[in-house]
Amino acid sequence: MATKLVTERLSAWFGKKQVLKDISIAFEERQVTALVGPSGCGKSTFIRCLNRMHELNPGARVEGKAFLDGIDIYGMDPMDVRRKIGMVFQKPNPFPNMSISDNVVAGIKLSGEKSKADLDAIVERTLKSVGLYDEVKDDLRRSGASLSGGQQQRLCIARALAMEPEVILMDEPTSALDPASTSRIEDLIRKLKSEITVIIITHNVGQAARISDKTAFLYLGELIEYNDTKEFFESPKSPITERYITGRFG
Amino acid sequence: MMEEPDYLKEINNGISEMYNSIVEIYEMVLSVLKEPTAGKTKEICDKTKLVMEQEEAIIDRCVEALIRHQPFAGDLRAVTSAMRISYDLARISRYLSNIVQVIDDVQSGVACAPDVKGLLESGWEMVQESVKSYLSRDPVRAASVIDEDAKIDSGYRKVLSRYRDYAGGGACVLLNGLIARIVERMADHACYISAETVYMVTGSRIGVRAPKCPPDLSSQ
Repeated sequence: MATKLVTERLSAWFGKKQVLKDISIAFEERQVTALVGPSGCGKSTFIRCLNRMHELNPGARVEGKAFLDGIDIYGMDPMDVRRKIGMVFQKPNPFPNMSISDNVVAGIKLSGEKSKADLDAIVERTLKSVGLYDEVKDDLRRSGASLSGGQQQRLCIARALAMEPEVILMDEPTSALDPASTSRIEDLIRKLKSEITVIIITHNVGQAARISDKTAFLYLGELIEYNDTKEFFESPKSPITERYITGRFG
Repeated sequence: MMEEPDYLKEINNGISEMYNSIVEIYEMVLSVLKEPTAGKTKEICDKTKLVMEQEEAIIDRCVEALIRHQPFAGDLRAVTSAMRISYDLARISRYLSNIVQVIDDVQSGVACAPDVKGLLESGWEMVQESVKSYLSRDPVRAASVIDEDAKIDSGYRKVLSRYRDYAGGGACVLLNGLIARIVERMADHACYISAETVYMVTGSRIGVRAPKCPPDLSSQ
């Protein structure tokens, strides 16, 4: 399995407070990797370092290396990094004053000119890939905000996919959704990995076990354990991991 | 060691109850070997049925634990091991009741040979140790049970070898040969229980369930 994204001794700070400590990890291409750990352990900060969003915070700082296909992402144009490494957030955040179709192609419109036919084709393709097209095809001019929570989250995933990213980062993408919507997103994540690399943060260890190929456990800003998901959940190496995933703390 | 959640305590209690039933069966088998008694076979058969019901109850509890608690790591291993161990205990109870059935079926009045009775006692000791190592979560004790299996296998082969050219009568051959075989299988299940205990506590698998090669009687 080829590695897609690699960090070497990656550390991060908010002002003087260090929130990530020397994290070295290799994410495999076209695999789903789950990041688990108690609140405040640095999971969100870590993935925000991967697409250079952490540095947007005042006083934020990063040390160490991160490579996408062997290229140092901190030597790249941040916008290019964010195009190649897309992100989906915890709470669905469609642009409320935009239609469904405009939501999907909002990023593409910003990054260059495309014909209406091209944009329509992208809308159809990406909405189909997230299983939303049949539900909304009769009225693509509706506001994205008029959709249900689960539909909105799939719309946001479609918006990220429209940019044709190589990696997609998901920060608790189902925590605000009902079980049926969660199940659809989980199915979608499993499907997505045939084309892209997925890194997902989840507090639901059951979800991590269901959908990921590899799982990493972060605790107090450190990477404690990283392994194949079956091994991770069946026989974790670290007692701290064991205590966390069996619900003894966190 | 982390404290066990309540559902695992309940599963362990179930295994413990199942083991107590099997102890009663073993004592009844010993009494039959000492002096065949009318009606004992039915009593043992009824007790064995109870063990089967206890196995079903443990499997049900384990399935419920998987659904309700979605355990991971040591808790997950404890649930899956309990399911396998309950099956092994059920098999052991069947083997014990088979001993009495063999005595009934042969109906010869022939006594069990001392070395075969000794083999049964050794096999039973393995069963006891395996269950105790499971209940005390002791992988070292469990591993020592597995080491004992070679002695049982060797004893079984000696019995077969001795009776291969035995001229003293078919009933004696049948009775002792079949009981020795039953004990050999019972000891195997004691090893399986022990291997599950090692896995449950350490996460490492010992491949004891693989079939053994047929015994080479000519070497005895």
